Amino acid sequence: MSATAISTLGDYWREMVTVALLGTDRRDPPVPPAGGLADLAADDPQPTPSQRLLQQVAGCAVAQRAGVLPGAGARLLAPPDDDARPVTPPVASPTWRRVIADWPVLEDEWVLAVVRSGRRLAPELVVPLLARHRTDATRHARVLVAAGPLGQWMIEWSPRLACAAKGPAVMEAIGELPELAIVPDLVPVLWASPQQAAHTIAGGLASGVFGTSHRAVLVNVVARVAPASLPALGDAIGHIDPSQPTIGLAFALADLARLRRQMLSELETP
Amino acid sequence: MSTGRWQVEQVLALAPRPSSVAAAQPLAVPARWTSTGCDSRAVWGRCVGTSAEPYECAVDHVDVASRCSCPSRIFPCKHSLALLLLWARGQVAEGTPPTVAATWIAKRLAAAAPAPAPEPAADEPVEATGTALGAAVATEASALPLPPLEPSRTRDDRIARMAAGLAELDRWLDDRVRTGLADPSLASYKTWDSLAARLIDAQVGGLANRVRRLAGLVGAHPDWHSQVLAELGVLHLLATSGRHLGTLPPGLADSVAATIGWQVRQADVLAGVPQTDHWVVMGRSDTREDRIEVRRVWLRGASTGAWAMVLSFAAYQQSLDTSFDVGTQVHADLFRYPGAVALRVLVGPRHSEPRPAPAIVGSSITGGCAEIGRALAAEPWLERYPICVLAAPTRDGGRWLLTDSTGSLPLVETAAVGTLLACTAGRPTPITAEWTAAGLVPLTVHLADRAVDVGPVAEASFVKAAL
Repeated sequence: MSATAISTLGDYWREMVTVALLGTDRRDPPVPPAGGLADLAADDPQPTPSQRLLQQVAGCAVAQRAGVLPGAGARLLAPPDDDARPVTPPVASPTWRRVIADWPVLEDEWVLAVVRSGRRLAPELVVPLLARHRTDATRHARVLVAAGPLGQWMIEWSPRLACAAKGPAVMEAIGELPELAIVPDLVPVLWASPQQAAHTIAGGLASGVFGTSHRAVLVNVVARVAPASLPALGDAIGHIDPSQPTIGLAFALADLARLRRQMLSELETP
Repeated sequence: MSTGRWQVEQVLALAPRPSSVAAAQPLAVPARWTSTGCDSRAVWGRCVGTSAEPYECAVDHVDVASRCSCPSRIFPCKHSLALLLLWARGQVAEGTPPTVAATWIAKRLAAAAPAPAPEPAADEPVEATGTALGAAVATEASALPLPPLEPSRTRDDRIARMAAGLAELDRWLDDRVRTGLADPSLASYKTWDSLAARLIDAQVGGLANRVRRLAGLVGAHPDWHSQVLAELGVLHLLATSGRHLGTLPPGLADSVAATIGWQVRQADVLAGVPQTDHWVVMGRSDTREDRIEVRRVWLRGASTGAWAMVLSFAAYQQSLDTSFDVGTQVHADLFRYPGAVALRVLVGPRHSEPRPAPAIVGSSITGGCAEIGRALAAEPWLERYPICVLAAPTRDGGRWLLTDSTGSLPLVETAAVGTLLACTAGRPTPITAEWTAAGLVPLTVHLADRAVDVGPVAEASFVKAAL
């Protein structure tokens, strides 16, 4: 047995770790300090050094875990500056997750809608949004506007959230929706009356003028059409004959229109 | 079948689970019984328990069956086992059965005479039938799975395999500390995996999972020797106590049995007394164990403050349970699995639709430590335990901590720490976390208007419904 006198559980544990590293074939287990572990060794003597060590390791591990004690209190972090803007409502967070999962074409508008509504980002979205746009300076800057002082504070504590883009942000683009590719023939739909916009899109799908090859451009149109047109558009698309070959595309566009309407409704000015 | 007196081992083999033996032992003393007797067919008696009326108990020791007026739906109940133990030890005198026992035996004989029922497979669950007898509920297991003189080889074999597996595990542990943790073979996953495979063969799958998790700790950080050694100590504790289940108190025996891999039938759990409360969904945590995704949903009773855990499992492309939304509250009956801490539950009837939970109150860090300590003192092999504390995340000594005026606990540094920090802005906030040996895993930040779920999430590419 080791001749070293050990008085604390911590020292005893460290000595047992050393013995376990070397193996009891090379070094005997230490003598337990007076107390429960010494009593255990006396009450239930083990025949071999390895069994003695296992018994004491088990006892010590249990004592340390069950006797878990808090460490010393630590100083609180200085909080970020106050942001008087109301936070986005709880329902907006799952909608944002749905946007990035299903219709990322809406994300820029979602962030801008937050800013324009006079709200700030829900705190649970600050980290994923900063991380998501760290390679795009303009979008990252837009997220920082939406996040307010909390965004910059988070970057101080988690530098991986800082912008890693090579170029600077385009300041005038931060508050504007990026343009999407829309064929000239469909541009008038963007500011047509709701009925006219619905007629053009739904009618084109129903008559076969639009097919699945037009998907990308139609998605862009629905993502940028005037918000007032969304109810009529969704309604008209929803009434397309299910036997039409474009019904799959119609359902997808109806879903996009519904989600866009929902997100804008959730982010209206409080 | 023989009509001779049984051996004690035959009685023990009838026990549906190890803890039943432990529960029966204190009752297997003459002082707890009145009006005992036996004949060539049955043994009977009245057990004096905590209820006003003694339990009427009878066992048919020829065509094995039992009946008891106790409310237990575990067959045979602890009273039946205790009565059989008394009889096996020669502490029950021969006599004439009382009316109740005689009628029951006569009915059994009459039912058996025209067309004996086929014997069920040895490991099939027994379907119980209940009959009313006076004010008490009398129950009968008409066909216990284990004939007395031909104890099920399946069950005996399993017990023998488990015992052998536990002994082998202990030998393996002994070899490790004898040769030393610096042995390069420990760095090979194969070393651990082959042990885990042998433990699965020995039907102690719970320990196999622990061994595989342990393999992941080797070399994971500079202090891995200490963490691995502590886990080896816990495995030694389980291997030792698993071989002495019959001598442990019932709750502890159940905990050990469940931890090493002894399955408790859901029917037995659902036969227990439910705990009804408004259960607040405090947190959710997904972990991958081998090829299975495991979801733990932590509930806390609004009136009792008691914790409960709902487990669900999903293999590749299967769905996890999404019926509990963090931050809501459900009025439901929960049925607890047996155990010293007894966290795991099955969900019974839900009495209302979920609704938003009321404001969450967190304890202090010191209070949280006390809760953890109590749980670990009762079940030292617990790998996680939930706490809800009013604390703030902070950074100190190169680590993230949860802190308050009473102290601090280290956080496991996962991606969730960032969201935790953003949600709290460094201010004290109610936070639900799982204690693990490596530190606290944050699960939920309870804000005034929302509960933010920051717990580990299953990979969406692995399971169908991650959240």
